Amino acid sequence: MVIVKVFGNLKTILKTPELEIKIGSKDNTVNSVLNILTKQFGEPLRRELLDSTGKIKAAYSIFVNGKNIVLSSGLSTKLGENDVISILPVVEGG
Amino acid sequence: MSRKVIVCSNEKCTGCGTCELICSATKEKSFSPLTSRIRPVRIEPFIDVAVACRFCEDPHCVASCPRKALRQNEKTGIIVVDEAKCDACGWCIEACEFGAITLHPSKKTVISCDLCDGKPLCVEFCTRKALDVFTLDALPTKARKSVVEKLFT
Amino acid sequence: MPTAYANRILRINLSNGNVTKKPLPEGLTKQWLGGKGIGTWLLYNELKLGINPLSPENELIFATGPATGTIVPHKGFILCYKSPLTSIYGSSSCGGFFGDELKRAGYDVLIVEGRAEKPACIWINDEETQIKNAEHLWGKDAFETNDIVKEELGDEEIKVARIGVAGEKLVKFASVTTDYSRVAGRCGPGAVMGSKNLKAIAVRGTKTIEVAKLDELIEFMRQFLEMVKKTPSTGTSYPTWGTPGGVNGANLMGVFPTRYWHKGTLQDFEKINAETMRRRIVIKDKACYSCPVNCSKISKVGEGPYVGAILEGPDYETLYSLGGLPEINDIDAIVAAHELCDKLGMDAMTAGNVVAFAMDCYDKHIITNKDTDGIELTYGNQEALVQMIEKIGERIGFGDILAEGVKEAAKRIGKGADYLAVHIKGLEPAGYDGRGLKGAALAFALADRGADHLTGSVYTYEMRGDIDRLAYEGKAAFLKDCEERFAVFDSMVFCRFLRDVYPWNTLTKVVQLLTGLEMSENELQIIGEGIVNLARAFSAREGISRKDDYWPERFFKEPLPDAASKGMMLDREKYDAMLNEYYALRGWNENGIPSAERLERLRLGHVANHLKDLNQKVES
Repeated sequence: MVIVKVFGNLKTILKTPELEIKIGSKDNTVNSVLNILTKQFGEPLRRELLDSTGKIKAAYSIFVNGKNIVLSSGLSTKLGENDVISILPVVEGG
Repeated sequence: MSRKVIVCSNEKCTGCGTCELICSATKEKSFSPLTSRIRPVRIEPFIDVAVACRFCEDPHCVASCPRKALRQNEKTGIIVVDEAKCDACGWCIEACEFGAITLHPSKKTVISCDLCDGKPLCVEFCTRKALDVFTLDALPTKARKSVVEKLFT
Repeated sequence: MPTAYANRILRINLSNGNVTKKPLPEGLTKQWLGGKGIGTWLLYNELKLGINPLSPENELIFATGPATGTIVPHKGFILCYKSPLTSIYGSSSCGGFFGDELKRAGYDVLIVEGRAEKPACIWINDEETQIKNAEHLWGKDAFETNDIVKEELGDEEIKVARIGVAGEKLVKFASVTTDYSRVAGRCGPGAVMGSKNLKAIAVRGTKTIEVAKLDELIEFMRQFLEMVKKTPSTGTSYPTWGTPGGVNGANLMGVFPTRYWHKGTLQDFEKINAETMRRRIVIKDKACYSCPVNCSKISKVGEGPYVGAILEGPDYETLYSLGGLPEINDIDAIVAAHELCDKLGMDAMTAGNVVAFAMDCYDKHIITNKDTDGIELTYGNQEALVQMIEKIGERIGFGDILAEGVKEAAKRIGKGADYLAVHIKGLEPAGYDGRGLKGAALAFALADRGADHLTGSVYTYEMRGDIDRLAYEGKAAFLKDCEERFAVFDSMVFCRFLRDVYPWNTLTKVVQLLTGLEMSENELQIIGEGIVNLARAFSAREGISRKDDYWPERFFKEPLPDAASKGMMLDREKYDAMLNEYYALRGWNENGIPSAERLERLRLGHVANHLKDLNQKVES
């Protein structure tokens, strides 16, 4: 079981800021979780999160336990029990 | 078909002033709000709307000119200034309730929006799509569609 | 003479009322472009060593750049002066429309020196300049002053740079406000203005501004605006969320300074993030001149105890300083506190820092409610925050001590408060904890005006994951390049938020289209490097050296406690190595003083002479 936290417009689409996703021992990457989510929430989520080629839009960042996945293995980053995946609009402070 | 006019949405306008700078650059080859035919109005902090000529059916500016230096194009409504006749007396400026016809700061003449030969540069450069060109017929259709979309989708 | 300049410097001496207009030397535009470049050059060469920043000898240098007044997106101006808060190099950037008005009045740069005998208002009306009596304005807040001046001078289009009561009372971090609420915020320029008895500067300009290649520029802008739209930061993130977009990520990563730098995540931070703002208080978006990013938000509190509070903001930095640091997660309260800072005319970032610092002292019983005039300065007490801000602005009671800034306040409080105080070179930091962002740590430490996030802007690349925030390696070189590119930004006067769309080659293009100057990337880099060194030299002569390029001891000893930054702190050895690497790349000696050979290479030979003594000191 992993926890997915969403921010921005994703919260409106998922109608919740947080949900639990069950992952299998074989399907335990960030990509697996995203597949489950897009299957569950369909076109509205796909349109918001993915670009025309099916990749995550550059405007979104994904963190696992607070670490940006671009610094680990990207979408292939493996997940463990109770990991927290955060999907949020690219962080630009100032 | 009624005349086209430039409209500005307060909701979208940020008061950035790009419109007045691109207008003056296009018309005068330099940057100066005073030579722009469209002017943003900023009533801080909540209101930003750019205003340009409305091509009135019965323009007060034309009627007020003592030298008959102004005439209106029948089809487009655009005010045409005969610079030779215009003496910058300013009666048209007083007559216009929208501040849409103004005095050119260095030439002895008045200026107002001419829609840039059909493709207004201000509309093109407005990154917020706050500016648009619409006929007065099309405006209500757009508003109706917008409110229905908001309420029912 | 390059185009896109008004080609004049206006100098006003408030002591004797002299107004002089001199041509802007062509050499200055070629060597420094404008903005921060020209401002820093003038400041360095005109100010004597060791002056009191609140004396008539200090100068306020308002500098515009080649982009000012044109369709290329730009800021208002860069303001250079000796900082009363830090007593070293001071510069503040300001958004909005004041700079354009100044340039259209016919001046690239405005220098104000001396001190008026009575409260004064400078009125620059195209070619005419007057110094008017402003005694009736003294005591008015920053908003009222704007309205009254425009009304009295009879023109809606007038732009007014003014101070509030905080500037009048010489609060060390008082700010200068323009437009509705665009602020030259940090390092205390408002106090400099107040010390000159200068309440306001009103400008009206009607001249036109020309550029070298207008048609090409317009075509370039078409493509540039497309690029801006497609780039996530400028096309989506800033326009939609503004800077508050950073709140989520900073809290998730555990680098959002909370409980006066003791923690990295604020409980229930979602209550003060960008989404909550949009849903609850944001009314509309605002932009600076020609800017397609419109990062600014206008907020209004609709209900509750702070109903009616209106703000241009809050921004990430004030959500951190008035929310994270004092542990307040009520967005309405933050708006009210920030609005008060704006009315008083003082830097909300420093204000949040000093009040939270006092809360920390209170928490550790270093001070009690006897010291705080009866106010319960406990964490989370939003009423106390607002009350304290008011006292600071008016310099009343305990507020008089906090009005000095954290470094001096800690000294006056004593009893170990020094150890708690967080600042670098006397400036309180921006909202990113260096323990969890090693590159940002270096950037804050080396920033010319003190612990600032914008000079190097490395924090943003680490926050996004473009570079590894935990690595010390490679950060020195990265910072050097950032500092130089952004120094050029500040000379054009471009906004930092366009950093993703202005690589070096695009900068050369825009410089050419605006000014006609054909500069290579290398030549622009030299300008950037020159500015960094000149600012450093100014501060070095005032006593800054290696010892001032460090975060406080706490950051090397106490680890961050939560979230993804748990356990992190600065490693002294690795930090020193990173610092040494930076000095080496910069051509500075081990004590952080620019070397003669590097300065000569940057056409700053005379500066090398001034630093000769400092350079020799290291040997002993």
